Amino acid sequence: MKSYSNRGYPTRRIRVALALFTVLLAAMACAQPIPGADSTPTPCPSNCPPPNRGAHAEHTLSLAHFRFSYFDPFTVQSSDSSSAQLGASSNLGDVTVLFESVGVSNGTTSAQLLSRVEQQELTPDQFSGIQDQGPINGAEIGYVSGAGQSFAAATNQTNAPQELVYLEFMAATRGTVGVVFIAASPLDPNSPDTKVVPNANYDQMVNSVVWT
Amino acid sequence: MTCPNCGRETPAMRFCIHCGTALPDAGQPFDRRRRHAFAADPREDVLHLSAVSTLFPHLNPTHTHRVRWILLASATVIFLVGLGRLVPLSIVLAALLVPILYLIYFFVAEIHDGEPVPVLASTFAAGAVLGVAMSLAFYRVILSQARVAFAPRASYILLTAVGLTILGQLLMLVGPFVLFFTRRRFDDLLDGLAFGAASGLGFAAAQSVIYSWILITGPFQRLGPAYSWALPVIRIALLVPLLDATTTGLICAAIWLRRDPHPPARYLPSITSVPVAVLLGVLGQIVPAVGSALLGGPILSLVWYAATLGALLLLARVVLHIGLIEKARPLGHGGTLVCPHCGHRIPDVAFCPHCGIALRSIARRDRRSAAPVGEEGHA
Repeated sequence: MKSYSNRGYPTRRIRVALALFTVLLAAMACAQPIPGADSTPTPCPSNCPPPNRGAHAEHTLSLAHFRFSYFDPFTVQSSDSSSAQLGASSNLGDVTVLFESVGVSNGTTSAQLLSRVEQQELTPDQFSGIQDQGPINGAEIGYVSGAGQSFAAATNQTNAPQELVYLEFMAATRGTVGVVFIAASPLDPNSPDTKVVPNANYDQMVNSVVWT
Repeated sequence: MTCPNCGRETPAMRFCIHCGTALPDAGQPFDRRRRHAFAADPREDVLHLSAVSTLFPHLNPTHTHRVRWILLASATVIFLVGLGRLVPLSIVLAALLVPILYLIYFFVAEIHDGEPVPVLASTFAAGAVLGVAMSLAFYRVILSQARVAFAPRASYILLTAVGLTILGQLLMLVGPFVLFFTRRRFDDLLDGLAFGAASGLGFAAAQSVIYSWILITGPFQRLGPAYSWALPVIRIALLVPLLDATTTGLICAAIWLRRDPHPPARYLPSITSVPVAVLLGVLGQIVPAVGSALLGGPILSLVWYAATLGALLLLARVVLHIGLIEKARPLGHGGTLVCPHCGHRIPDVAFCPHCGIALRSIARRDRRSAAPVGEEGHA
């Protein structure tokens, strides 16, 4: 049987390692304050949200029935023939955008498509306390009139900080084709400081849509 | 009579006072492993799913019953507060419920053995401080990897569900390790279990508060579906603290079992070894975290955590049972005492011959109530 006697056991080395680790952890812990509800979404000392539009060239992505353009720092995280998910990082997490074209029956309205998408996406699996924040007035995708709705919720994550999340849904239909736009962001679009919300990025992307 | 297992003389009652074997009774053969009678609470099977008799093993039946009801009632109240969407209140109450109960247990059972300050500082306080430090240190790192509303990145799952859970488990062991090296007189596996559980509870409470800070500092009552606020509270209030307590308690029990200078009656099986305990503890942290990240949702997350907690509690009971049986010995004062479990007056032996409880699992307060043999009679 192994004996754990103090004699011959490297207790000093363990103590020194523990002390160093504790100091390191404390230094990391003190490096930045955590955001409180009042300070959201501008607790960051630098490189604050929203993602600043880069000076680089415009990127264009073609999907079934439409194409759209976007700028850095947004990048394509995943895509297939009919949908693309883009993301840009912020200090409070990724701002994520999804474009998708869907087939609809003739006569389907934008509001009907929007309602269907909301029911699919707004599941309690991911969110606590989903709140309807009201319609997005003047919603349109590629200058095709549509419908939009915004929501707020808290994330349901285990082993991670809880986060407030703001979701914007837009949908527009033309004939038997519909285009859906979903944006999820930890940045409060209702912030009095308009510089910290990514709405301009959203506007740029939905206005760049060209139906094909 | 002569015990058929250890060969020593023992009163002809239900259990051998030396090795705890269930003696032959009404045609039934003797039962050395006595799986029907958990050594710390013989009313229950070893494989009986009970958090209270596993993590609070020093309590007598009355106190065990009381803690069970307090835990159930408090969890219900917290759930109702969550249903009322009083989110900050429900989260704070949830984070503190089990740690406060365990703190009371520390004093009722005198786990600290007359040294409350160093013991509490190295368990609850160390766990809480390290929980705060780790949560703050990695708060922004985690958020920077988060992708809200869409499938999480693999790097995010690796970070939150694997890397940080392992680091958290290691940090929960730091405080008990300090006691291991500085307080050698705590040499019982139940000391290790209690120290590990307390450190895990301190860590869980601190982490819950920090991770929920944005909700705690927000509106007192939130909007949205009530159940979506109440269900996560159950995980925060019961499952995560009990899981942290169980994994850390299991590892510490295995470590302290090896520290106990008393030679085991037989070879200790590998399930009680430190490497196996560490592996089980780490897996117990990773499995529900990865499961919730990949197949999440408030209900599935509860299932992941509850199933893992149940499995680990059973494993912890097996380790405690084996340890208490194989390293059994009298308390050492040579007097008599009233068994806090069955109420019989018994001599200073390893096991109560009436109920079979391992007397090293009773509270220190009850161990001391002794009188010399012959003064007040014995079994």
